[in-house]
Formats: sequence, structure tokens, C-alpha cells
Amino acid sequence: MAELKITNLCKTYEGTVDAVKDFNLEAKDGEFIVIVGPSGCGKSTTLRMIAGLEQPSAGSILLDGTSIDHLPPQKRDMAMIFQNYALYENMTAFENMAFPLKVRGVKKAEIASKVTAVAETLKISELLNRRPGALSGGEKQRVAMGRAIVRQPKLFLMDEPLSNLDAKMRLALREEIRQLQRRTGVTTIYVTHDQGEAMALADRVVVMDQGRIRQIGTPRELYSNPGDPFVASFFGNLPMNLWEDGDMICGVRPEDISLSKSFVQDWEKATLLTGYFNGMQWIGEVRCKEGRFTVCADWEMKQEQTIYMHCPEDKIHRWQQK
Amino acid sequence: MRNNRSGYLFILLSLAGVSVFLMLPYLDILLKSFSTGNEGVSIGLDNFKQILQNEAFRIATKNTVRFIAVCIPLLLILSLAISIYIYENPKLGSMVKTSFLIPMAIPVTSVVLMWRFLFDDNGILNGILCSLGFNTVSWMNGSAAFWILVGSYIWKNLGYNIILWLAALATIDPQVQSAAKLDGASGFQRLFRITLPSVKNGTFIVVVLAILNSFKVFREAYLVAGDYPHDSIYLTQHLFNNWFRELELNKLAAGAVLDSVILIILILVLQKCWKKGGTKL
Repeated sequence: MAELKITNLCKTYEGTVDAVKDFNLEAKDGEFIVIVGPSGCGKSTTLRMIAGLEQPSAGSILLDGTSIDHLPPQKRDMAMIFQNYALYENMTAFENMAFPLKVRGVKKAEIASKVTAVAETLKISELLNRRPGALSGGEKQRVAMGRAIVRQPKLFLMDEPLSNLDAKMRLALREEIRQLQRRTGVTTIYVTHDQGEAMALADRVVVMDQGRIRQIGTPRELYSNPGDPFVASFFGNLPMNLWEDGDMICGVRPEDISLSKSFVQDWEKATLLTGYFNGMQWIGEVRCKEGRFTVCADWEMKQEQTIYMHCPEDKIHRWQQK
Repeated sequence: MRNNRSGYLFILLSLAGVSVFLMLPYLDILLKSFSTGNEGVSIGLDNFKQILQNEAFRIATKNTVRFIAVCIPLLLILSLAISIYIYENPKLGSMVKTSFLIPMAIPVTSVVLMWRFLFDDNGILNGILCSLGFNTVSWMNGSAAFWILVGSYIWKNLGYNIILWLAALATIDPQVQSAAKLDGASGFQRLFRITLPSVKNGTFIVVVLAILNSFKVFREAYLVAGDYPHDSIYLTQHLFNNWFRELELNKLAAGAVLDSVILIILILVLQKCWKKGGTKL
């Protein structure tokens, strides 16, 4: 239940380059913000600064209009979910979830009723007496989520919460995180390196690279109007095809290229280098006059096959080369 | 099965060493403790009765027990407090850690020499007292000797114990501490609910090592004060040394067996305590 405003946040480690540089973001009440970028781009550092676990070198953070720069983490009223779950090994699942209430001096009966209620929504009621050592990865992360929502924090912070899970569990929990956030309405900052996760979860996505924000926008905006080649190639299930044309960089998404097995007037002729089926469609690599392209179609692609390809002009993205 | 066999191969060498130099001599001592002379005539528990009535044995045992009872808790609490302080303030860095380890690297003889300079009747401390107009103190020939021995033990073992505690503390996932901070736990709450429960399992080995190391202060006491130091620091090792020199081998054997039994019981009790704590955890 809070608005977050971050201005000119910077983090410089002694003797190294800027880990985070001029980070500006305003998150509206109840908004789901995903910060995405390759590893080492400064996204986790940013999250840790919001949490108060790391001291910013410059800049300020406002929560509901009040500065929280001087507050230690325990006074910020935020809840965080970690990649490695960070559960208290010496406590049961119940005690883990009760911990944030216990340290606040909440009465025992109230703790019990709150924890049981949260456990029910997360479908972990049967696990409450177990210690983290006896839980699977997915169950551990559910307990960690329970620990986060058992009190209504002002902000959820999530640091790659799904990265340690297998693919199936990742999809299931991703959906649960989304529903949980919608239901509780808690403003959320979520960090990941996975563009698919960012697309699926975010109201707005912040793309970071080398400590700087490249672009902020809804998943749709980032997909159809990427601000630069980095953002363009970062989003989409298949990598965007990029080539240079004079002082411009051009790009086209594989799904925007039309393909034909037979001759079509004015279409470009190309030869397939490889082709494979990914479960939904056929993906191929071709060599054409602009370079190596990734293409896709719903018919079988074979090596050495000759195809004809075409891309409508309005689907080509162009950026001035720097 | 093959794995098992190669496992035995690996321990064979140290097992042989332990057998020849520790287990077999211990069996020999066990036999001697129930017999008289070197011939091995069995006299039952007579040796034990004799040493239990021996004044020197009583004083030595009392001193040793008192020494351990004072030193171990003091050392454990002091080293744990310092290591938690270092753990919570990582910026202190390795300088501090290293400085605590220096006493370990100083050879016993140098330490003893320093003792003599400091605590001799005409030593530095008395010199200072004298120049300030106080009476001199006979440091090594009074009850102060015990506390000097305690201080020396703490001084020498503090660094080692700090390193052991730091190793235990290093096993705590830093993210767990971060999680606790965000969950709203204060410094004290984190210390008592997260940090201390996490190092609990390391405590057993630290305590056992501290007890075993406490027997080594005999070297200092012996080198400073010789065979018959002041009554307050006359330890079981002094007694055994003197018995050995006087060829009282059967008394020596009985004393050693008694001591080893006490130690084994102590360790078993400690182990049981921790196991119980472990399941309760």
C-alpha cells in the first residue's frame, strides 16, 4: 500500500565502475515493477538499496512521500523474497512465517490464526511442522512467500525468487506470485534476468544494463517499441535479427518475417542452415544478404532447403548508431 | 563394499599410529593401575585408594578442576563476544583477526621469559609498584599465580577460539541475516534467534578443544615455577611429572586412568547435551 519514488540513485564501489548510476523510478500504489537485465547489470544492488541492506552512494528513496534513506532495513516495513529462500533453518515452517509477527510482539493467538490463514492460501498447511531441510525448493519458496505476506508490508521485494526452481515449478509459482500480488495489492519490485518472467509478471518493466536504465515501459511497449538494440534483442522468445545499414542499426523479429517454400516475386531467396521444432513451431537459421537470421514458420524446415523470405517495411526497427 | 575397503586403507596409517602410541600404552597403563611394581602382581583397587587419600593428588585435582571451571566459560564467552563483534562489523577486516592470533605464534619459552620479566620479585610489575610507592607483590608465590595462569591461558587461546567461532559464523547464509533484518528483527533479536542458534552445533567442538588446550598451560607453569610451584597452580601434570621422576609408576597409572575416565565422562555428557539440544532445535 505504498508509492515508491527513487531519484538519482547511485552506487559506486571503491575503485570500480558505477554499479548503479542515476536510477530514477516512480512506482504507483499496487504496481508490479520488474527490473530485468543481464547478470551484473546492477539490478540486485538496486533492490538491496531499496531494502536498506546496501547504502547508496547518492540519491534518495521516498516511500509514500517520506524519505527512508536514514532508516535501517528493520524499520522500512518491507518484505523480501530471496533466490535461495533464506529460511531460518532452526525453525519450523510455522515458526518461519510467525517470525516477523513475533519480533513485533504480536500476541500468540493472533499469530497462530494469521499464519494458518496464510498457509491455507498458499496450500502449505500440511507442511507447517516441518523444518526447511525437509522441504522441496518449491515448498521452501512458498514458506518464504508466506513469511512475506503474513504481515501486510508496504513493499514486496523479490530477488530472482524463481531462479533456483525447475521449469515446471517456476511456471506454477510465477502464476501464484502474480495472483498473490493482485489479491494483496502490495506494491512490488521484482528482480530477474529472465525476460519471459518480466513479460508475464510486470505492469511495467525496467530494463537495466551496466548500471543504467535502458528503458522503462509496459511489456507490450518494450516488445513493439524497443528504445535501443539492447532492449530489442533482450525481449522476445527468439532473438531479434540485427544488422547495420549505413549509420543505422536495423532489427526485425523472427515472427515478423514471412516465409515461403516456393518462389514469390520480389521476395529474398535464402538457404536454411539448420532447422528444429521447438514444440510450437519450426525455428530455422538462414544466411541472407544482411547476415545470419533466425526465422520461424509452422512447416517443417530442413537443412539446405531453399526458401523465400520477406519483411514488411513497417516491421523493421531502426536506431541511430552511436 | 569396495568403497568401504578403500576407506579402511585411508585410515590405516593414522590408525596404526594411534594404536602404537596411544591405545597400546593406554592398555598397559590400565593393567599397571591395578598392580604393584613392574612385575604386574594384581592388587585390585589399592592404587586408586592410595591416590585418592594422597594430599598432593587432591590439591592437584582441585586446582585443575578449578582452572578448567574458571577458564573455559570465560574463554568461550569472551571469544564468542569478540567474534560476533567482528562478524557484525566486517569492515574491521583481517587485521583484527590476525592480531588475536599473534599469541599462538609466540613460542612457550619466549612467553615464559616475558613472564619472568613481568612477574619476578624484582621484575617490571614490582618495579612499577615500587616507583609508585606501593608494596611489592610476590606474584608467582601467592594466590595471584592462579590468576596469572588463567590470564595467560586466555591470552594464548583467545585468537584460536575466535577463529573457530568465526568459522561457525561463516556458515550462516548472509541472506538469512538480510531476511531477518527485513522481517523487522532488532540486533538483539537477530543475535538470540538467528546467530546463536546457528553456531550452537559448532559449540561442542570448541568446548572440547578448549578443555584439551587447557591442559597445555602446564608448560608455562612448569617453566616459570618448576616442579613445586605455589599451591594454587600445582596441577595434575605437576603431580604426574613428579611421580614419574620418583618412579611411582603404579600411582601414576592409577591417576592417569582416573583422569581419563573423568575426561571421557565429561565429553560424553557434553555430547549428550548437544544431541538433546539438536533434536529440540
